[in-house]
Amino acid sequence: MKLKKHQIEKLIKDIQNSFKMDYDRAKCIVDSFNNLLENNNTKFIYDLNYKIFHRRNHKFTKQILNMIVDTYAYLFEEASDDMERQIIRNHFEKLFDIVFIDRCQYSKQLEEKSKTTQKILQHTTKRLNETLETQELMIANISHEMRTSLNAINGYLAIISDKDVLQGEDKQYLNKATHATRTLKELVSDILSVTKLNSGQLEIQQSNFWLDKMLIKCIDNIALMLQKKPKLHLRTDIEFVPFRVYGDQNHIMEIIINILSNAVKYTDSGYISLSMKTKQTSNGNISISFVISDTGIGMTEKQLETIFSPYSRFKTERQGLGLGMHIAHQLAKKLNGKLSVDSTFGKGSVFTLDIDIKIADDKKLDLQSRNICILNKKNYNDTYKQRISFLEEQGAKVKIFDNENEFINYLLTVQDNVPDYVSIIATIEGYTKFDALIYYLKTLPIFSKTIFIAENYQQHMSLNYFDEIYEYFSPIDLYARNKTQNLQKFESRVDISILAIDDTETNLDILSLFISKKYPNITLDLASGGYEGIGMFKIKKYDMVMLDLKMPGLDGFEVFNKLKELGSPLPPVYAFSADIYKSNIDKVEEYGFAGMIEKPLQPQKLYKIIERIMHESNN
Amino acid sequence: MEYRIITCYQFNKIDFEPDLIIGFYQDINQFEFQMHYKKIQKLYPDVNVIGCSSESNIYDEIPHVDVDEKHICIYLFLKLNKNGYKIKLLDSNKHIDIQDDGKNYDAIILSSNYSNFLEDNIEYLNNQLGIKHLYGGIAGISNISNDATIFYNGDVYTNTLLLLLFDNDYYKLDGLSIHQFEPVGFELTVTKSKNNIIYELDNQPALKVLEDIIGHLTHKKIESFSVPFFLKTDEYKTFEESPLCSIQNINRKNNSISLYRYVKNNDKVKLSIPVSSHEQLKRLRRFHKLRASSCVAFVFNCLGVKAYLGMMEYLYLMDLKRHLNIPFIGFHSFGEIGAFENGGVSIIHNQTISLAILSSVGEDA
Amino acid sequence: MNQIIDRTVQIAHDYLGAFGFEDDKIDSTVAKGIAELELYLDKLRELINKEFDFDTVDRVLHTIKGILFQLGNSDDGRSIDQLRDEVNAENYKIKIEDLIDKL
Repeated sequence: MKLKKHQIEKLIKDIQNSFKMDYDRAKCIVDSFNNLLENNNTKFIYDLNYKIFHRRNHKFTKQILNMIVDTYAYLFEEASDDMERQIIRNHFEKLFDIVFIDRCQYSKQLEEKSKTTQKILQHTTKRLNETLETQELMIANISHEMRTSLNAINGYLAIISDKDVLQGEDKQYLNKATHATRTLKELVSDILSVTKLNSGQLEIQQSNFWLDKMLIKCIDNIALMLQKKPKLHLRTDIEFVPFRVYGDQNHIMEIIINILSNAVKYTDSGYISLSMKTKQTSNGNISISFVISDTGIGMTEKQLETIFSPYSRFKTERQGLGLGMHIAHQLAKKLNGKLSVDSTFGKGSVFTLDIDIKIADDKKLDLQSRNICILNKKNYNDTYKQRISFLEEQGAKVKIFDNENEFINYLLTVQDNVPDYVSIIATIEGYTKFDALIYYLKTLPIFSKTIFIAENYQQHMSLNYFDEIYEYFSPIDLYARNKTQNLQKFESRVDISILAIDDTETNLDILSLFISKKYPNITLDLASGGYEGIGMFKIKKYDMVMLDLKMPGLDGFEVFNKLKELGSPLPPVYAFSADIYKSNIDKVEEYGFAGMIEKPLQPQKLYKIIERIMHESNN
Repeated sequence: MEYRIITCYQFNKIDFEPDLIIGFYQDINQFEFQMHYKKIQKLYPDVNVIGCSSESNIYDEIPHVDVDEKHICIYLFLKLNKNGYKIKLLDSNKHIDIQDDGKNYDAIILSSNYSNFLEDNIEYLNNQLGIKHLYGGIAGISNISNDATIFYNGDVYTNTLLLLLFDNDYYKLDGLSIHQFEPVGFELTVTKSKNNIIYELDNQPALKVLEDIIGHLTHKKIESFSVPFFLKTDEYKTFEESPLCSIQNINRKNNSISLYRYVKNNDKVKLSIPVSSHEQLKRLRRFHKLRASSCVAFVFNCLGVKAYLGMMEYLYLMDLKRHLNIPFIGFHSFGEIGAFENGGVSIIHNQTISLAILSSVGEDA
Repeated sequence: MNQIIDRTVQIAHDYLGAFGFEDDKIDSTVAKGIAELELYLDKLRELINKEFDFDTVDRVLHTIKGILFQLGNSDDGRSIDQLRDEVNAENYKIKIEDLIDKL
């Protein structure tokens, strides 16, 4: 079959119109089509197929399809006889087969092949997840094991250090080893944190807490670092929040400390600013925004992009594994918060932690009839005013002085309603004279229950007689504490001597730890057995003896008898035992012990006993 | 260099005296090829005729693949400088006896079958003789009862290699092999094997390991070459630079898998998945960098490519033709020899499209 | 026996940490405590091969209990304390072996 002239012309025109082609090109196509009809030359069909493949455009394909259908319909109509129609039908079928049916079959085959691909990928994903899980558990376990060993290394190094037998270079090596193990411990902790975060093992531990107290702890954490950079200052702008909140305090602290540490690390001079703003949300929670900004080295755009990726560390001379920001970022997400950063290279950075937290379902602070006396010569900002209002709302009676002389005069002459709290917010130079005043006031019995607080002092002189010292602000719940929890430091100045006798080194160690922390001026002598204890008792006067009851050789009761036999007045001897049975207690009483101190050590009970003894010694 | 690509029905179209004729014949038409050789011999008594059998041929006319079995015997007629090339026929009893004459060569290699002999010779040609451009194919069959054969001046050979060396002072080859897969998943170690059969992977029955991943392996899947492996031996650093290797058959009695090439214990294997169509085209376009004129190309397409790509194969060949605009001749092979980079180390592959472009040195591009 | 050590280490750090002691002080105390604990746990193992002496067994168990409590591991401490009440000449080997396996 061959196309007639008018058919050729019509087809050329149709192609020109449909595909915006010039005459010559259109004619080429029609000639090729004619070749197909006349000589069965399938080049036309394959060329067409290639065009569809090459263009990869469904509109174009649709145009082609329309063209094919129209062309064949036209030719079919124009066919002179059945034979011609049959030829047209055959060609149409062949064209349709190659251009479209083959494609459909290929698509179907692809679908089948993609099922295999899917199976392979599913299997791989499953194996990868299993491997990841195993790896994370393994890392967590290894980190734990490493930490255990590191603790031991650190411990033994501390023991050697405590013995103070090394000198000069050897001592330096020991210090370096100690520092290195500490660093390694931090690195292992970081890796463990990341692993826990990634494997979802991180537990959220919620509790009620004061936001201001939490921030004080954060600031305390970087205090030593700040001290090493005298040209760097910390500013705070903490909104007063008069209630406790319920959330994961430790992890929020971890994030803030991480950011603060980094700020100190990357800022050599200028300031670091910590601010906290809150907003009540519609569901009764509060939305908190912690903003930490610095005047440090800042970050480039590229560095900003990877700041929260693991192992991003911008200056290799700065310490660390580079996991801190990643951990902080992940933690924030875990707490349903958001950590974001903005920075200008060479100028500094601003980190913002936004987090929603519940308001604690708490009973209010009981400050009923607490007398609070405040000297504040300068700090009348909104936060301060809010704090004062809050204290008064809670029932406290607040007396504010802005004149030093009036304040001092009041303290010297007050007889009734002696303040439970005396809070001094003074200038840097101002505290010195107050330290001496407090020393005197503490000698007066009427001030025996008063807590003296230095607030916002920003200086590095030691204030010996203040009970509490806060660099920027004191936590609001401070005013709910009772005096017994904050013993007068004045009393700790009395040098009492205690003898502790126990055959278990750990018990003596723990005792030493607790006593020296609270009462660094107390002399604590340790004896690891009855005979040693008796020996030490013979040569030194002790204000108190703590005696383990169950010891090999001479037990506690026998030692007690021996001490009595020595003839000198016996100081209070407390039995130190884990066996708190009635029979034991009765026996202790019968023997004449002053009392019993339980094991495991209950620090507060121990402190009460020591304070009683110190008080008696003092008086 | 003069050249012409023709079928067996077009001997009258040759208007020059050829020195070398390279032909490919469908295995079932080997007899016809031999008959045509007699005709050629009469016309051109001094000409060398070399070739090999194929599963089907690849020709220079659209659609390039032999859909209608019209191109059962195809020929490339070449007029070459007699000093510019050498032909060597090697069987497993003969070693390559090419003397180091200080010349540089490129080579086309045709093998009747896959064997250690072929592997060793490829290594020898690459490393000892320093042949930088080595391309070729393993002869194919369309009928399982036939042997794949090499043809050389009237005789057919099995267990034979035919080497066509081109002196770089006169001619050069440029080429490339590409495939359309990428490695995926965990590597598996061949822990028990013999020749081309894997019995165990990671100390587990090989077929069981494979079917745990991809599901039941049917003969249809095998015949469509849809699950090739990447085979990493000690020579290769990564799976990406390792050759693909197709599954020939499976044996459910002993849970083994047989491949189209040898494998040994401690070889590593990874499954593969096809790349996207976008990536397929991107890889295909790498051939465009080989562009040169006044030359002719050899195409060695794996039978696996034909089975896997289906209609896409001829569309890709058409695309290649349009862009390279050089005539080509080729066949569907049971293995290809080529490199992933032009001038790279040539290895034996499966499931690749391998192209070698022959051009004269010094002729204008 | 490693389990009790590991548990005690972890608990001790958290326990002493809660009192606000510095890390190196805690490390030093815990290291000493663990060394002592290991010593007494070894003594306990040795007792299996010796003739039963209630005082000795009781004292060792008492000491172990004390160390565990001091380091904050009250759960294991309580288990040891319970054992002190249960152990006698007939069963002390089994009880101690049992404890060693369990812990």
